[in-house]
Amino acid sequence: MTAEGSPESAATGIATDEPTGSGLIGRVERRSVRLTIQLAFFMLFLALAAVLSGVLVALVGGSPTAVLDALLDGSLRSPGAWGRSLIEMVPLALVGLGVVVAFKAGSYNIGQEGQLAMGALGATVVSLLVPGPAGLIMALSLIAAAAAGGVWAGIAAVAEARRKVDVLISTLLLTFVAPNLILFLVSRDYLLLDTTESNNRLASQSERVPEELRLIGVEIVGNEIHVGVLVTLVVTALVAVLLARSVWGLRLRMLGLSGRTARRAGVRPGIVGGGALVFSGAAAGLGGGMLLIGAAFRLRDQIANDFGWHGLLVALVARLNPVAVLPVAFFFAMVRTGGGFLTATGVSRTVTDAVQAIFVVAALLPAALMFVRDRRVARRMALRSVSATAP
Amino acid sequence: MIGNIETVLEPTVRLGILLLFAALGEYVAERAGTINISLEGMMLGGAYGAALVASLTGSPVVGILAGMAAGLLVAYIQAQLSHRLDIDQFVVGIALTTLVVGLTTFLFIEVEMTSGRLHVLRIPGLANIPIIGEAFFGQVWLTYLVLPAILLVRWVMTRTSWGLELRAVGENPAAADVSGVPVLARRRQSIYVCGLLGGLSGAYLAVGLVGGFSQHMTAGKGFIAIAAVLFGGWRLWGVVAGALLFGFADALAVALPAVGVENVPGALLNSLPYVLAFGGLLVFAARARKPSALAVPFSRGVR
Repeated sequence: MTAEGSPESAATGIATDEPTGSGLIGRVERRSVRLTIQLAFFMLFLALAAVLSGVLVALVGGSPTAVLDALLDGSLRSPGAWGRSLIEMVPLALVGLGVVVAFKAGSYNIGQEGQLAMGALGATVVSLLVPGPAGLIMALSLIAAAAAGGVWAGIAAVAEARRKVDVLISTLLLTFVAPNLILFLVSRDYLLLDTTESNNRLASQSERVPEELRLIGVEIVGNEIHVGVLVTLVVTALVAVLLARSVWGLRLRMLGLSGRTARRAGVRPGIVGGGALVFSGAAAGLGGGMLLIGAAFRLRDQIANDFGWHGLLVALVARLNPVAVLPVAFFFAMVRTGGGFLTATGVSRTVTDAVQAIFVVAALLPAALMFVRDRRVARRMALRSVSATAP
Repeated sequence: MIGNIETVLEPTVRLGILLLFAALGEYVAERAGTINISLEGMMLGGAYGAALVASLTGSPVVGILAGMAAGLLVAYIQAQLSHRLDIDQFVVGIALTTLVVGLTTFLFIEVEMTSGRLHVLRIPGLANIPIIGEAFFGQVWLTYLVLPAILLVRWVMTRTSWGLELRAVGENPAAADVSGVPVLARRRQSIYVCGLLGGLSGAYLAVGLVGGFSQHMTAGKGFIAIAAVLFGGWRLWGVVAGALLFGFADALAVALPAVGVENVPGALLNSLPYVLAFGGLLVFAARARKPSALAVPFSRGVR
């Protein structure tokens, strides 16, 4: 998908640092004022989403405060909980960063769930089948994970460049193929099926990744976190700086705002847009690799476990701001880890799906309100200038 | 052998028509310039609404109407957000689909539902034709509505001024705007049509084929329906062919084990519809002429 619109029409409603609305208003209103108003709208809708979630819980006979308590216990307060939330954040944030890059380039990759699963597959293959020193294999398996995710997205990139196949649809279709492919691989004894004693019923899963090949962890006051958290911070910083300050970032954003302008300026959509697509696949794949050798340790067909979809939503809620991805991803991770503590409250843990979705929709609305407000201001100013010049 | 053809043909018609209802709606929306990816949410909402109301009232027909209303509700939100408030249509679609999946999953576990199924209408005489009789003339009655639906869509899009205006805002919204066509209103209306048909498709799945609701029961069928529109090159008969072809791929996954083909692994068979859809797009997407303003937001005075 190459967005053909001009900067104004391409106001996606999720790009805070791009001009949204009329340039006229930008000149009249100071940037700080606009940002404050935007932030106020954002806070308003977050509060509204929280209230709505409470209403939803009350509607099915649960106690909103008990649910909130359980979520906080599960994600922050119980022993080791915030470490688990941080580890859960890693794949979400990596996927989200990839989405930011792809969407900014106008490449609507929504197949992260499959790319993440393929990443996990890549990491499994290297850690189980390749011999070598532990540190090297660990690094290699993460590289393989990123490569596998990148290739899975790359299929869509090539299909778009060569055959004009819509990225939105192709990435999505590939997502449904990935878990079936993995199921096939982990249910054949000559491939990846776990044939050790412990799996004597031959459940469809791979062997566990041996202890020494798992991500290096540290313990901080009873919370175990692994080196992936640090990697995520570094990747976030890299993406933020490169997007804002590098030539690559400029080309990429130009392509996303206006395909026509970018092509006139010499940006090659196949290279820049396709590259962004492959990058986002690689980021999701890396997230899958971290998930596998950092938390799950064995491959199953449902390894992705909604991390891809939730990571996509993280990027949307963060309004494609790479730095905002981190806190939003942590929030989503809290909801995920806290969900396990809900059984005691009598409310089904699927409530977390509904709550996340409510927050996602709420995060879209501030941009819509800004749009309405801008239009109103523009109209008023146009009227004023007409009456000023009238004879 | 002949028995085998029957075993495959019957689910092909059943599943193909399920896709076709949704694909017809998507066809209308895309001709007017929107890639409506909340179709999956519309179908799922339609399935939920139909199963819920059918089990509350005991009447599958009321359930189907409720399913269409649920689809329309999703469509209303999508249309208002993307074609009035100017939020990116894909972002809205992703968020809405997520919302419907989340809400229906949660509310389903809290609500008991066992809806009835529609009754099978065997067309006398024709249903007894060997091989094709059962498949084409022995289905639940809602199935037969697909033919009038196709003809109606065709008539509206080619023979009414409203249909002409829909196609105009999908090809050249600026020119349509200058000629006095309300571009955004037409685009919103096209999404409403898509919501009605998507909801109908979901209702067909819930009360027509399954007789109840299950968590995320559409399982990506909405996306396959979108692929069918792309595959069909944005032409009505192409879309029909695409939907039936992808229905055939779905049916193969169901029917191949039943007809004695067992050495194809089930896991790979399940991904056949998606692989086939992808392959189909590779072959046909470049040849088709898509609506020029597809997925381009319209804003007056901006080219």
